[in-house]
Amino acid sequence: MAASELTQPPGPAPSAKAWNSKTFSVGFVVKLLLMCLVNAFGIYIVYAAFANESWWILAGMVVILLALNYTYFTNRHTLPAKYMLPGVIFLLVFQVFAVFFNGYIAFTNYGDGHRLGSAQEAASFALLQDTKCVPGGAYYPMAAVRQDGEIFIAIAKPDATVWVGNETHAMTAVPGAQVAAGGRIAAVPGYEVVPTAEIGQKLQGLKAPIADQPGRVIQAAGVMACDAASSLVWDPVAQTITDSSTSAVYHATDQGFFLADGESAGSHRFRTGWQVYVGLDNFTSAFFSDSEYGQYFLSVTVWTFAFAFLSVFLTFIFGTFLAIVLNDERVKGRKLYRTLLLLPYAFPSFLGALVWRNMLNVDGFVNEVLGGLHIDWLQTQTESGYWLARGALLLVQLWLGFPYMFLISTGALQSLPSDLKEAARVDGASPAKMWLHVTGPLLLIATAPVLVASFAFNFNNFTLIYMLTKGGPSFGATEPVGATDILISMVYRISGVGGGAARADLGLAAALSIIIFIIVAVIAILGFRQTRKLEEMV
Amino acid sequence: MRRSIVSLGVAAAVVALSACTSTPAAPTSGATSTAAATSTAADYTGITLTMWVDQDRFKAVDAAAKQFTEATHAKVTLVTKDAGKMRDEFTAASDAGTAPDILLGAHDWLGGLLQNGSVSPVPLGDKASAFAKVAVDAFTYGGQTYGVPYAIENIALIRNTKLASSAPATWDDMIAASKDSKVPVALQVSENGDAYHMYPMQTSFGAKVFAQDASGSYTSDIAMGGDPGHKFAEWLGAQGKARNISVSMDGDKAKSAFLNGQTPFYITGPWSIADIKKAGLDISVDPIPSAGGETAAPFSGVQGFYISAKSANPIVAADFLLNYIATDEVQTQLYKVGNRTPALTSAAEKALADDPITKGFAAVAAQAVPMPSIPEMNAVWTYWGKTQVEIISGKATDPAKAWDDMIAAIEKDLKK
Repeated sequence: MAASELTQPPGPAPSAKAWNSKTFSVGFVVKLLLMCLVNAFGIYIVYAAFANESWWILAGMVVILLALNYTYFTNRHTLPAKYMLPGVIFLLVFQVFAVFFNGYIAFTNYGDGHRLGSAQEAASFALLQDTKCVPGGAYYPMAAVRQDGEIFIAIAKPDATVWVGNETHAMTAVPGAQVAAGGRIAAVPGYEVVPTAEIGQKLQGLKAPIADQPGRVIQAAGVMACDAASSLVWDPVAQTITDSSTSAVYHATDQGFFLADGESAGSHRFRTGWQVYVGLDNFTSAFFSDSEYGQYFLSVTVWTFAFAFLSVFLTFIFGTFLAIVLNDERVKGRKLYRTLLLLPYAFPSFLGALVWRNMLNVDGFVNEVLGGLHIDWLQTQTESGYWLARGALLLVQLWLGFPYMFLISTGALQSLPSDLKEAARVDGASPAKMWLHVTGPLLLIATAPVLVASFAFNFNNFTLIYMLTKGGPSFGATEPVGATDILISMVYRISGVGGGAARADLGLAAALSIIIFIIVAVIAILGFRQTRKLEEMV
Repeated sequence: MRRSIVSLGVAAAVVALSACTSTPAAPTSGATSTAAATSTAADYTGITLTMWVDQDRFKAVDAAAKQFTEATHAKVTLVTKDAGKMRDEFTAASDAGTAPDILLGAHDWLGGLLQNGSVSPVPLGDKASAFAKVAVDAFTYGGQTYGVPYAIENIALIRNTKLASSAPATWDDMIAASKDSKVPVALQVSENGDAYHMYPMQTSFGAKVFAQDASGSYTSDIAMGGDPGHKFAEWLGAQGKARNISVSMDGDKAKSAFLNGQTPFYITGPWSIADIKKAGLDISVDPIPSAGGETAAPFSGVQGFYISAKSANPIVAADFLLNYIATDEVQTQLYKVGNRTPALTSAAEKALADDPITKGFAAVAAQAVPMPSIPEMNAVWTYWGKTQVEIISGKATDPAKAWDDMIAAIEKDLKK
């Protein structure tokens, strides 16, 4: 087999070669099949990228395919890569790209009103909006036709004459054209009628001036063509739109919208803007108190830390307490208790949060149990209501989170070496002292990494906040954040993905998420370093 | 800045609609083009249109899509989306280049969609006259039409005729009439407020959201401040205190309160009619009672189909909408799903002729004012609803001041 020869290492001994080819043959067939699939999929992506003219994706995919084939079909120096490469590729595609894209967005004004890519796009949209069929004017059946690769728009007038033109050629009558029933243009001499499927979106952009009527064009309007007029002229070199009817000139500004001299931003005519680079603006408006969200950044950050810390602290204390109690052999029915205690953990956390939200509302179960109270535990908009909601949030978090800590602590307690305890007991240590000096520190060492990870998780515990309070109670009708909003839920609000934001501001959201990343990363590094110190101490 | 929606048109159109029932000589030019289109259907082999609709209206649109495919060989892929999330998902998809060709939505999305450059004009051509003028106006911005309207909707007072024998003239009459019921009136508010359902009560104090110019177009001047606004705010606070209006009453609770007979009155739109019919209640659709003395004018909204600015085949999409969706048959099917008055005049005539409920809504529509569609409405809705919640719940101890704060915040946002 030629293929198997290819893969054989340049082994010197014939016996070794025979042994190799035997084992390789099965493995190699599997490898070949897998690589065939991978290559087929990759080539499909290359093809699709080519069809969509996405050159970056095409180039990236070609590089990935070459790297994969090289790695798996040669044996020189590629052994480590064989294990690393798939992971690296997935990391690149799913993580690194998203991170860099997020980083890029953070330095732009991307968001509502600035979603288009360039001034060019915004100008074409402005022209599209402005070119209107003349009121009361005629509508004509139309078709796209082609001559020497150039596309023209053809219309059939009511007198059955067909006129053809495009942006550089004014409409002219073409004699001898065939018009079918209903005005469908069947054939135009000298031109080829282009099927709609082929012409697609370009047909809508087609227009042609009318010879004796300056400013008037024939253009597609719905399924017909009409006499249309636009007073706007786009100059791509000067980056200006000129309105010929008022001779006002609208310049492309570096804030990403068109503005005429003397026009004030906010009441400007062209509302459709584009993305521009805004430098560190998003980062400064995230921090400084004069902006809509900036004034809350500090208080939300403090609450986020408090929430994450208290979540871990309370669940750990409670979970460990239960673990210690149920670790004592004198307790009867320990297995049953342990199973029951794990129930909240078996619930999906979003479901648990939803159930709690219902139980905590004005007519909910909690109020009923407390004797017909009318307290809105989660959404009361008063100073005390804010604390009530935060407290309720922590209680729900305790209910959701303690079984996990209980599991971890139980495991850690059971794996503690019993000889240490024996030794302590022999030395005459009281149970309290034993706990303080032996069991406690050992337990902390075993669970510290979990606590750090749990802190990082709760720092971004979006699910619970979103499902339980949606960040409310709001600080006020005109304020964008609420008392239980943590940083990540504030980012969600700013991004406008869930609706309700005054203006979706993805640039600011991206900048804030970078700040959150930095905070979490620093905490994680400090936390793990601290853990190591703890280990060295003992 | 002038806004394109003409409020006068609402009254005019509805008068015209109801007039049509008695005078069959009304123009029906729109209906003829359907036949013309099918006989000369273009061949779109190889083209696929993607369309987002909600679950309720899927069936009716699907039937039209099948006809379209049969006649033109174009494929239509219908994707069902949650109506509440459709607009945001569309905006995101539009950025990502994965937007559908056609989007089913409300006219008040228009400002925001235009601001983001995500929908393209759909000139209605000679078909425009076949639609109610108010419906076309709603989808018009700066003289350009951006969608094919299919239905007009507004809220009204639904009355359980077993529990209340006559229509109340004022809000206080209504509260008096339901004093033996568990719930005074089913009026949805919910945590974030519902300025839409509260608007008729607000207008009955003369506090309109934006000023209107001579032609009826909205300007961007806030008009709900001053004395009328304060009076409404005070009234809202008093109703909250009396527990006639409650923040914990959300859409579902309002509906079940009415369906379970806990209240004779329900302020809602045509979309609730299907459930009410299913429950077998005898109802009457009446004008919303005035709370402040003036006419209680709800918002009128128009539902329609947008074409994405990123669509690869806008012409085909327009063909589908104008010649296969805007037909009597499909409009009537859509009407049966949501009970909204069809935007196509000829279909509306039929609907009004055989249904007292639709007639009831149409009568209230004569008093309705169009919902503004400027991009800034997003901010307005948020502040407006939350302030009302603060006033109803009693958190804002001085309702008039809370109202002034809200207006200041909206004005600040409008200037951005």
